[in-house]
Amino acid sequence: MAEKWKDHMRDPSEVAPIDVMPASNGEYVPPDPTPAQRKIMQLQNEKIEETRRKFGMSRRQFVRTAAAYSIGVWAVDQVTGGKWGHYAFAQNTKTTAACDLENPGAQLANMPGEFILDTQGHALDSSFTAKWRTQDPGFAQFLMLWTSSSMGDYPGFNDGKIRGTGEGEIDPIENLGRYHYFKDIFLDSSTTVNLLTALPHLPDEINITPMKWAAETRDMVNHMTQSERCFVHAFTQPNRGYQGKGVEPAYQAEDFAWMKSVAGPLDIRGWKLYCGWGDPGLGKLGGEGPSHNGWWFDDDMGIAIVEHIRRIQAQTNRPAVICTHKGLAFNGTFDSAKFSPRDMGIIGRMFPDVTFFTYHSGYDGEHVGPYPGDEVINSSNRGVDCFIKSLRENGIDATRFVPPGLQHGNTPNMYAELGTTWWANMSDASRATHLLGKLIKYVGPRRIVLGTDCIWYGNPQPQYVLFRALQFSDAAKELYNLPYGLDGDRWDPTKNALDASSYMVENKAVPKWPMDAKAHPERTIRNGILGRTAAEVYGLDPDAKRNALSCDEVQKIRDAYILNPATPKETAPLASNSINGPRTRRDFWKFVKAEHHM
Amino acid sequence: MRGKLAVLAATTLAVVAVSVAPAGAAASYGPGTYQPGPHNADPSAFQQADPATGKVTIFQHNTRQPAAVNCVGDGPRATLRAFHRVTDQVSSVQVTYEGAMLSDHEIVMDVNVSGDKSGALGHKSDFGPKMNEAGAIDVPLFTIPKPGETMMVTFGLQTGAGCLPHPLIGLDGSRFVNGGQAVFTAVKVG
Repeated sequence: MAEKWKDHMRDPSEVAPIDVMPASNGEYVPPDPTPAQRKIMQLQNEKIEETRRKFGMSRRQFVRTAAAYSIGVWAVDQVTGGKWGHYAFAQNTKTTAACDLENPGAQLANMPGEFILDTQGHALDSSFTAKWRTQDPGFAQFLMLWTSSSMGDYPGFNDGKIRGTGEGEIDPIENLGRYHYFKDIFLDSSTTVNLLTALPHLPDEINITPMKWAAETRDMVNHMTQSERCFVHAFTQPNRGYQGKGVEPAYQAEDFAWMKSVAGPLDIRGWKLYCGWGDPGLGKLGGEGPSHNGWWFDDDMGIAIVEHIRRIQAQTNRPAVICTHKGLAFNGTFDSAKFSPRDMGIIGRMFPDVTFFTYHSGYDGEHVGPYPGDEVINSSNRGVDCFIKSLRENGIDATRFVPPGLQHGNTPNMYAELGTTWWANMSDASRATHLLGKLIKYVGPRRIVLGTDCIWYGNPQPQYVLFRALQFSDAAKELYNLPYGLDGDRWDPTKNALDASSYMVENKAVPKWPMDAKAHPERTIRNGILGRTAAEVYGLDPDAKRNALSCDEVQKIRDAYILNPATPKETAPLASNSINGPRTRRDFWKFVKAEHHM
Repeated sequence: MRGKLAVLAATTLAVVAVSVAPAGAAASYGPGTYQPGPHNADPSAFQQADPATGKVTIFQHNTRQPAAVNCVGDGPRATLRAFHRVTDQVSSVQVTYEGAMLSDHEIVMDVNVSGDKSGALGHKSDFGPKMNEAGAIDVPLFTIPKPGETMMVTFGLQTGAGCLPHPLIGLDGSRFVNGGQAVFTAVKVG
């Protein structure tokens, strides 16, 4: 009997949608799961089994429902909620023994006041003709870091058939391409607008997300939706052709000219930089690779590129926005020392008319707790605290900019971005609370933006669901002076934006304070981080955008894609929840063994 | 116990008071008047700062094991401090050094100026590599300190933690060892 295509596609997974267990890409032994991770998964599995039987659904169907997300939130809360934070939906149920299946935060439709602008979307040119695939094949290795999207067969499973990897494609790179970007971001999640950001390196034609391809992807999304759902960054670097300290790199002028030529025609809204993207350097045959010769913002190369970006953005009448990777070391793949955020405060003060987004907020896998104080932190390390220290030692942290009559301030031009940082900390309510609490205090309630780093992590919806649910405990509210947690008004966090009584009298400290005696969910810190704060920087009107969405093509596709929308039985039958790759030491070695028999 | 703490506090204050020289528009401080500053180093690193000589040393061997995308550790930092009581207008600080040996661009010579009333006043860095170099770091102040407040100049060497190459993907990773040494000869306030 002839084999059919579907014989080679595995069935959708039965894994719970909020999967907190360790994962590996098959290249290292994953860490042992913690007792908390085991407990979260055990609770989820028990409750999923109990509930799906009640609904008469198969497990495979049920794990794709909003109810399954609710159970995940509940399980994380049961295990990690406590002294500093908790996840609200579980707390708001009639009992805390089980989660509320009416959970509104698990839905794909946007919540009141919610406009999600994911400031860190990724995808790449997956076509076989893409130049990077032949001229920079090493990058394929780097891409295999992303467990959710590019991993191969189930660990140790090899029956001789050719089976699709990651999200089902025979070519693993295709899992990170345009189609899956569109599906994961715009169909499987509540994303309103996605910023397709950029990756190293130049020249652009061998970049894995070359600008022509990125612009085509953006135009395709926007054409299909007849609305602006996507915009783009471009990657650049000042150090190509590195020749030594104090000498202009050989290709800097060429690369700066290229930047000028594409900024306007390709509608580049911001420039993506990686200080840790090194360069082999001229005259070093087979010598140092991208793990050396990176740059600092406050050295000659860094200052040159900031000045150039400021100039060309002004010439093309666009805001000068610089987004830079800080944190996440990728040691040996990049010049990881230059991913320290020590220079962010320096450059922010030097260029007050340029907006800087610090991607990942400097996070590099450290245990996140309260800010321990300036004396303790070495700003040359990587970490969220190092980013805060950098702002403080340059006098531009939010505490220096508290307007009269208010208790919270905002840095003038620095933004903290949460790609991967939120993903890595969201499964622990206390860590998540400290992460946001200290960023609100030291960077500002209107200076934090949520990027998801998806498509690397597949569907971003679990990140949104947990973000919608996080509540500060009383202790955290006191520590961070946030009496309403993330529901505080982001212009005055001492007022509850969800309470109509906050808007009955004038707030003299805040211009244009609403006085319509209505709740203003669009003003919460939470909704600012989810998208409204970034929308201000990029000049988008979140309310106009949301109106347009209800009738655009994506919405039609989404309507057809979701069964029972906005109900407790809301289901996205094709959503891919799975994190692929070895999850345990035993899985890892099974996988390695199977790989060698392929 | 409380009595011992009181004696310790009094001693500390006395030492600080001796080293805080009332000054006019310009003043200079050197080894012997410096105080120890904050310092860091995990077990892979070494740090030392000698207030008597102004010599600062940091060193690390980057054999920390990286995780999937992380390199966690506490790189070395060693600093000294000079204090200055503001009587006239101060607009800049200069820190001079000699014998600077810094192995890499990532080894940072850092000067941080703050006031006990104004907070952060100025910050400037210089980088390696340096081979037995002498020089100066000039720090223009972005905020003018108030008369009567005490300025604190924190200066020294720092770098971030390095790790072994990424498992399998890694190229050559961090340098196997790196570090630096410099003698900070003077802090001039003007």
